[in-house]
Amino acid sequence: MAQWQGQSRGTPLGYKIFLFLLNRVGVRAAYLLLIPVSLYYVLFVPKATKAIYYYFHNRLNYSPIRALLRTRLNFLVFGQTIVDKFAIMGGMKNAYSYEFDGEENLIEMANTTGGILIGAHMGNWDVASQFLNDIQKPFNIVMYENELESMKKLFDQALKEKKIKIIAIKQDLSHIFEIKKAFENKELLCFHGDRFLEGSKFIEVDFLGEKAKFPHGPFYLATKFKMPYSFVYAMKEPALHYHLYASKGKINTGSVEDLVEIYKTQLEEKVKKYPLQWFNYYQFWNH
Amino acid sequence: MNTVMTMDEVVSITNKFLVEEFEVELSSIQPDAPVKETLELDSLDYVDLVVLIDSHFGFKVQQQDFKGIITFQDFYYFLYNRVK
Repeated sequence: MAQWQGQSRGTPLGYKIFLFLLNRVGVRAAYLLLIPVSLYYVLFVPKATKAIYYYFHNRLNYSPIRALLRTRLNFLVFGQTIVDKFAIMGGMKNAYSYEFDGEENLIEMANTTGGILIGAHMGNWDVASQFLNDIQKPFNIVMYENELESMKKLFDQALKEKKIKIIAIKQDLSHIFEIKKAFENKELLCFHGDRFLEGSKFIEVDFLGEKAKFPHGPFYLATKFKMPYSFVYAMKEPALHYHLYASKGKINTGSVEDLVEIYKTQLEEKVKKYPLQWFNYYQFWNH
Repeated sequence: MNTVMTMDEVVSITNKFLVEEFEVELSSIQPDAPVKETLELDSLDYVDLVVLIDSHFGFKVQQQDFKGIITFQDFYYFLYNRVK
């Protein structure tokens, strides 16, 4: 089975330090600590730095200096989204403001057919559910086991309270039955649509001017089971504000490839609007 | 599905939906061929397979059922033993 080979470098101790700061001092204190921490990542995680620099310089056509500065900022904003995740899931939601374009789309799906929500490694989409008070059904977030394990432990209590279920894609195929059950219960299933893993099926499309691989699975499930799909984002904006987006639920009547094309087109729009919040820290394009 | 099925019927029904749903050539579905590689099953494709079994044979597959299914022969026997 294909597996995510990337590393989650944050340690439980690191997370606990941030949690301590969050609880005792507040969000902005945790943000301050991120300044040296994010610089460390820029300097000592060269693969990630190179990947993000490539994105800014080669795909968004920023000058070398601007691309470098933006790379530094990208790491900082990524850290802030993680802090926000802890804060929001830990019960500090009221410290944040938010606006929601398309909340009614998710409510409609949740109350009728269920559906597939496709996000990306952009912004902080897994906190979106925390701002949805009118949806009683659980959100099933489907993720690769290696990618989520350390976070899951820390979020466990919050996940139980907030009606979030994480479905880990595992070797033992237990995820199949959880996904099937969610379908049968007409629940919402959330996937990242932008992370292709070596060894798994992919669909290659032109993304920001260069070929890139997108995962086959989420788009296949939406198409095959004729489930309404919605593209969802929770983008960070200044002053502890989030802008959430959910497109109207639609059923794909075309091919899986057609759906990937639709996805990548709107993803390009979001990337251009929020360039600092692209968080795929690996060689995304086929260069 | 309440009627008793023969092994030939199980093989026929199975091959038909595999060809239609997984877009593979019938000739590639050989008893000793590996299921996963032949159908190019991804981690999420198994959801489809489970739903197809449910709809064509009328029983729910359990997680442990996949253990021991390597080849199509294994797969046919598993299905046959559940519906015979």
